[in-house]
Amino acid sequence: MHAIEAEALSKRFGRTQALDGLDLAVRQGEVHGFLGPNGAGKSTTIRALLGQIRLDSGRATIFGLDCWNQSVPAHRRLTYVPGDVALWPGLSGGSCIDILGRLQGGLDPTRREALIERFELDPTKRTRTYSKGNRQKVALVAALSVDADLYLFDEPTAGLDPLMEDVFQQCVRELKGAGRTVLLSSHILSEVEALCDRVSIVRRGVVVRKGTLADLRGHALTTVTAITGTPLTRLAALDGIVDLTVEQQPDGVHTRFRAGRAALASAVGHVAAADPTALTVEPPSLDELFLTNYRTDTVVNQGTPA
Amino acid sequence: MTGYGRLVAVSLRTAPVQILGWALTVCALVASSASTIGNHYTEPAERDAYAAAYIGTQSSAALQGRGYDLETLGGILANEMGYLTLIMLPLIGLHLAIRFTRSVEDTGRLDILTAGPVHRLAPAAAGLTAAALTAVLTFLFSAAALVALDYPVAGSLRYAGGLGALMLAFTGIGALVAQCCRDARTSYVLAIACWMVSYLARAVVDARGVDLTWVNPESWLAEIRPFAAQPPLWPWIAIAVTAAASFITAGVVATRRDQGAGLIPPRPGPATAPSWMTTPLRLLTRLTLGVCLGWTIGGSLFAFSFGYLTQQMSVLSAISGTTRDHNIDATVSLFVQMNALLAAAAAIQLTQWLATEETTGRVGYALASPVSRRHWWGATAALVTVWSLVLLICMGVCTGLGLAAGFSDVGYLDDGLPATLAYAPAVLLLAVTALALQSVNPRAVTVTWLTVGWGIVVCLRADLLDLPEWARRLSPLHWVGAVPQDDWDRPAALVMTLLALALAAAAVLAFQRRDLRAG
Repeated sequence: MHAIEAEALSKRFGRTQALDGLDLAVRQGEVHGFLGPNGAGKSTTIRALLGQIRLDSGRATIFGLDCWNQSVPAHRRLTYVPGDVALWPGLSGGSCIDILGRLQGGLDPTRREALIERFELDPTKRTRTYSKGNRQKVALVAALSVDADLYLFDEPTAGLDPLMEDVFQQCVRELKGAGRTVLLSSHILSEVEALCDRVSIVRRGVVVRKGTLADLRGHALTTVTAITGTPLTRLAALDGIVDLTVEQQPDGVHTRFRAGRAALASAVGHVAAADPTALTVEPPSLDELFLTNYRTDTVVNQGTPA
Repeated sequence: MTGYGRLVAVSLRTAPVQILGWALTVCALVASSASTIGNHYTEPAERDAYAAAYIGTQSSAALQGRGYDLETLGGILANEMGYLTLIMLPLIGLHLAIRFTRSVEDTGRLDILTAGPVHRLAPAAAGLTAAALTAVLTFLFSAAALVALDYPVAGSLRYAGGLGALMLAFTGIGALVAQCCRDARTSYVLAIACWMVSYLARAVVDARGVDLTWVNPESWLAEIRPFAAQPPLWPWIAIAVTAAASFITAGVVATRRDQGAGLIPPRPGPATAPSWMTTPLRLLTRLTLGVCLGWTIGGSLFAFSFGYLTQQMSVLSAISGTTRDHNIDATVSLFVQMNALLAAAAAIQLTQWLATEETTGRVGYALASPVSRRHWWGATAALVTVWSLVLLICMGVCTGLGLAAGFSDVGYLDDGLPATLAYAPAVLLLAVTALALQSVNPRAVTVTWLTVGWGIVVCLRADLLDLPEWARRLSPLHWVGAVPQDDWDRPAALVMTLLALALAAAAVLAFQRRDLRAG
């Protein structure tokens, strides 16, 4: 049984198709990255998992419990940090943490104290006077003080400074060490790379890529740059070469192209055969990987040589 | 003032319905009353009889203000309209001032606007211009309606001008309150408290005939004496000075305080929540404690004042024939219905308050915990209904206390509560209606204010407006009858209670099945 299992989730708000047959599987004990551009349906998916919205079709379960019909037993096993934390005005941050913890069924007071210290939060300030980052800290302390099996984080570090971002990453590693499951929706690629076992990339309400980061890298394009004495004439005829540029410069012919994994060996073979004076092969950067997948028309699918 | 013009345009575009709607509502009420009075008192003899019945007493001055020039149609109109204008105009003015300044600031929109090339005072000035426009439109529409109904032109202009001026004065007071308080919620509580003090002080001054009309803006509407041969000038000066002073003070505060803050900086709170705050009901009780106490104190004060003034108010009718007890009962009946309407208003405001908990995303956040929607709804419903009934009981007791104090007779002590409680089913029905609308859509609660507004019209003005029976029955209070004058209509009370329960059941189902708004 997976921690989260979602099949063909679909939800329409007026004229917007927020979810369009989204599938998501999060295994128990893994940190699962949930990525995608703004408005792709990440928060809608999380709200559906929390039973806040009723799906038009599809089924979502948390530890086998239906997200809509059995939301209360499902919520006993999870805790949640919203992307836009709204706290009760007039109360102090510490009060909000306690109330959220008690609604959840009780929080660990020693853990609460330790987390307040680690996140350098002033719990006596009124919620109205908190900045976005501080509101986020309140929600994080409240969620992390609770002993849950599943942690749902919707862009939890938006507004946190790099030091706090680091504290958050440590906390997630500790959760992972304790065998907890985490669903982490995030835009911060370094955070995803540092924490996530597997990721799902969502776009326009469907998951377009999923797997480990190594898997995803395999699908992305490697950039090759070479300087040779003569032009590489046969390169353009190869399948799976894109963005090919050739420039004649005083020190030789500058060739630059990108290739998928299948075409890489033969392409580099051609370049090597031409006795290059310089050759660099750059693996796909994570940024590039995401940019490729975030864009509506991915380069991967074009596949035609330039 | 850089940016003023653009910001006025923004204010006008975001709330044209509010600006036009309130002016048209006041105009419609003035015009309909003017038309019925015009048909009612056609002969000078009838008007003289009306004036003669009034002189020498302050019978109903507590509710409608002092009556002047009652031998003219306009004087009768101004006197009869006092019932509504003394409540509506100040509240509209206060509401619009807060709505266009502090409420906007609460949303954070101001932070974006003032980042542009905008003068520090421009947002407040633009918002208040939009609010003041309603006062101007009220003046123009009402004046046009009165002139069209053949009321004297000069008097009509003065009367309509007085309506607009009173609204404007309270817009100024609202502007000052909004600048000083830290958020819109607090501003509304303080603003309503200001109005209530002003209204009750005027009621006492008018009913007791004390010569203190120059202190209180609420008194000035009548003192304008729009239809007198030689109307005094001083009330106009008083209103203008009050409005100008409050607008200027509001401006001074606006330039000196931090954006998003009030005059008093927030103090640090406790680092932990009190141990009793464990369930949704207790959390919601804590969150609404301030506003609930405000309603209870205000409502009790209101009930006591009118209980206290009952004696003066029922003397006149006794002279004119019917038995004294009957008249006391008629007057008490009016006040306990006002108690019920206040309790219903409190229930609606509380429901609206709890509805914003959802639209801000806090309900969604709280319900990510193992708390069912039914549980949350139950806590909301319990809070709203119990508080409105507690308020009703407090007001009933205070009406009795006021009666006993006014008549100096302890025998009247238990006259207030039973009569007030007779309207409990109606209050319950109105409260549950608000809750049911909230369960379907949190933004729909506003519609319930129409029922309270109509309740006030039916309670105070039904005879004057010659309302047909079906129109009166649109107010649930009318189903109960005029207790204690009439007997309590038990079947109607039962029907209302059952209706409320059925509505509540439907509301739970609706709330369990719909999408939460945010969070």
